[in-house]
Amino acid sequence: MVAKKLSWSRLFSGAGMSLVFFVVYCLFSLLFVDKFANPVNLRNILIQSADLIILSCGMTFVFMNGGIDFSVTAILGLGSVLGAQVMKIPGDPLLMSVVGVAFMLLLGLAIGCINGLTVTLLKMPSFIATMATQLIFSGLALWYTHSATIGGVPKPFSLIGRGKLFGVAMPIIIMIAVVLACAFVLHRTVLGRYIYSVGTNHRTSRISGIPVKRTIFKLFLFSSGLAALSGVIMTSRSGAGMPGLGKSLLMDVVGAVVIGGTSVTGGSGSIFGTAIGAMLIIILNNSLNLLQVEWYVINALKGAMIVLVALLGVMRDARNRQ
Amino acid sequence: MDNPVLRLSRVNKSFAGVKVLRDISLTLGKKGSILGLVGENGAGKSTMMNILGGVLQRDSGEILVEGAPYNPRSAMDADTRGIAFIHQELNLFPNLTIAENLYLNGAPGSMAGILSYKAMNSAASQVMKYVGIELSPSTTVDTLPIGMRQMVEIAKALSKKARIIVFDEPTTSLCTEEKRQLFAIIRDMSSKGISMIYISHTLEDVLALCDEVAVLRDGGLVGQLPIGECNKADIISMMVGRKLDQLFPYVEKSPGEVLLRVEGLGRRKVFSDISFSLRSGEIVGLFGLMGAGRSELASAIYGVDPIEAGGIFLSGEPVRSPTPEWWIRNGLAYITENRREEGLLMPKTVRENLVLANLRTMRKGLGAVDRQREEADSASMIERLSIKTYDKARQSALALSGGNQQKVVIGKWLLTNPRIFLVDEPTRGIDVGAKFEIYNHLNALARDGSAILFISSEMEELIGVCDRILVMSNGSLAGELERGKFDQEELLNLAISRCN
Repeated sequence: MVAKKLSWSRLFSGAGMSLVFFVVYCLFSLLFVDKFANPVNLRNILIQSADLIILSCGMTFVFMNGGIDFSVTAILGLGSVLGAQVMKIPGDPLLMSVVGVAFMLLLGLAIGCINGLTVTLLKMPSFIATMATQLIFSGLALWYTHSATIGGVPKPFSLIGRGKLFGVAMPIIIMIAVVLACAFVLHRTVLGRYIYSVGTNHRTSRISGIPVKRTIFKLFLFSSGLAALSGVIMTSRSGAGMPGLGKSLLMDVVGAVVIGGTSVTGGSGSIFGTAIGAMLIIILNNSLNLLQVEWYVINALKGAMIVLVALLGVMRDARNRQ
Repeated sequence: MDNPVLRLSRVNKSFAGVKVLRDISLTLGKKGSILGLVGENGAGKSTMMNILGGVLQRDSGEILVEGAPYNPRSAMDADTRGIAFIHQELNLFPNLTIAENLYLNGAPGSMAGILSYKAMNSAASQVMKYVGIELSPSTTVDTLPIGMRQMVEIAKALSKKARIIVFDEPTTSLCTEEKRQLFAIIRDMSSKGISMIYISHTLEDVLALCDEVAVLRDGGLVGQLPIGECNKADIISMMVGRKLDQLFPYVEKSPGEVLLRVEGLGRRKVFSDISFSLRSGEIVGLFGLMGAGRSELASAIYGVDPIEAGGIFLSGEPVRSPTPEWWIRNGLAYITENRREEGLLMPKTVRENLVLANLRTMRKGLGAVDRQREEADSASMIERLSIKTYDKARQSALALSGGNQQKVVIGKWLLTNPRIFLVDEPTRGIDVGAKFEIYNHLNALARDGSAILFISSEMEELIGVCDRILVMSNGSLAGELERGKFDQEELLNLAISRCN
């Protein structure tokens, strides 16, 4: 009995309550919310959750060291408009699509490098460092476009967001691949161990020969790289570069990671927990929308849920300490 | 006749089906008496104190304080019944002043939540004078040496009008003079009718200070005796349940070539001009008072702190700007004095902690951790060092006793296959039995050709196990003694020779 409980809590590392809540809420929605069980709606939920899950997986990495990455929305916006601009250069559509995607990913990673270096070398808190890059690069995106969208992306590019493989929408396939890859890195690799170790105690890690700064630096690459990937999918789906892409997502991303049971002080958390947290937020949004609840009420409910989950986390930590 | 100050009868406590306290009955008799409480780590001392302090609740049994039932639910309950605790890890806020620390809750002269610093400081001055702190009450605590902080803790207990004070290992980080001062105050408080429970691994202190001694073993009370009726050997055999032949095992070794040499090592204001060498097959002690710069020297050699002058040589080759990663690859292990903050990932499992320094070598395809090796390596260390854990993949380091925590740190380093060990206070705060095991492990390593630098403030253990002892005083090497010429007085004289 005890053993069973423990292995569950290891799998979801603190997300157990969120999982239970998620299942209960799904059942409730399927039974009582009109149109929720509609296949079109369910498909929409999955596609929407792809964006949020990919972004939240990236954010989970930064959270593992007790940090945060505000710059993800800037990476979405700037990547989207500059990517779209690059793909407007005349040339073979397939080639230009590949160039555009590569450009967007590299741009994201470059911003991640800036974040990582400011945090590790200049010893700036990630809160400040990424807020600064967020303001700078989303400002740049708006300045470059004068708030206009840049249309006309090549056809192969739009397949990433709208295409299907074996009858499954591409974003969903990419999302599943990202979740599995992130879970592998965090829970199975040496780098993952380094991340947990650094997130738990810098000094012990350093003395044990773990490259603390390099590990923290990599966290920001994960976060920015996955934000850039998410930007590719979202830009492709909307078919245009938009400077304000995903601006409203930041709070949901942070919320998903917290609800997923990742500790805000670092050192513990799981990718599957984050995925559950993100799904829960999407379903909450969707079902309450269908019930025609006003958006501000939805926000208040999300806030209440984050408090509840954080409270459970605090209680669990207190119990573990005994 | 008066009721006893504190009486526990048949107190029981289990965690997850494991009995940690079995039918404990204890009496703290007269006002002003001092009861020594000894036992190996894991014997149940901490659990008992946590029950007294309201941190944990007992499963059964009865506790009476001055004849009245006592069922604490929180630290506040202990406070109101006049029971105070002075812990091994001090519980002061370093950023606050002495007075603010003394009156964290319930400042004198405060009204409607507004503090009166005047009333607070003058009340603080009085208690501070009693414990011998001649400083302004508005000094912040982080500027105080550790011994002084302990006095602040005592002042805090007194300011709360405590009638029972529980000391948990109060002397582990005190120098001789601070210790003398502490004992004088304990005796004085005793004469003023304050009763005390004194938990310590240092049996000499218990014998010198206490009226009675209670011995715990494996969660049960072995006995409670007046101090006059027992000696150190009796207490030890009660604690471990067997006779220890000797406290400090020494083995003959055959020292070989020099593995590590440092020359003229210096760091401004911390240490200067340090030269010594470590040969394979020898244990070299490094003695000194608190603040002599021993730990700082070790962490500078290890590359955690900067070096400003001098050189380090590994098997004759100069080592340029060493880093922990480099040392681990080249066979040097650094067991720090602070196992909670520098040695272990406390909330992580025993297995994760054991492989931590060796993860680099456990990479399989795609950077995955070789989990078979992880399992095998950690299992082998748990067996080799007889680490007591109910499940290495689930139990966190936090939940281990001090001795077992230290063994996990040692195991972590052994897995990296080092030939040189810098070992800083490896036996601090752990029980006699675990100490003995650690000496044996160090001996075995040296016999098999490792070089060990053994830093300690405990003169007796250095004299017991080392081949030579270096003495540091105020940042420089004051001398060196060979085995056979070890002398406590001489060591102490060297240790204070550069202080002024």
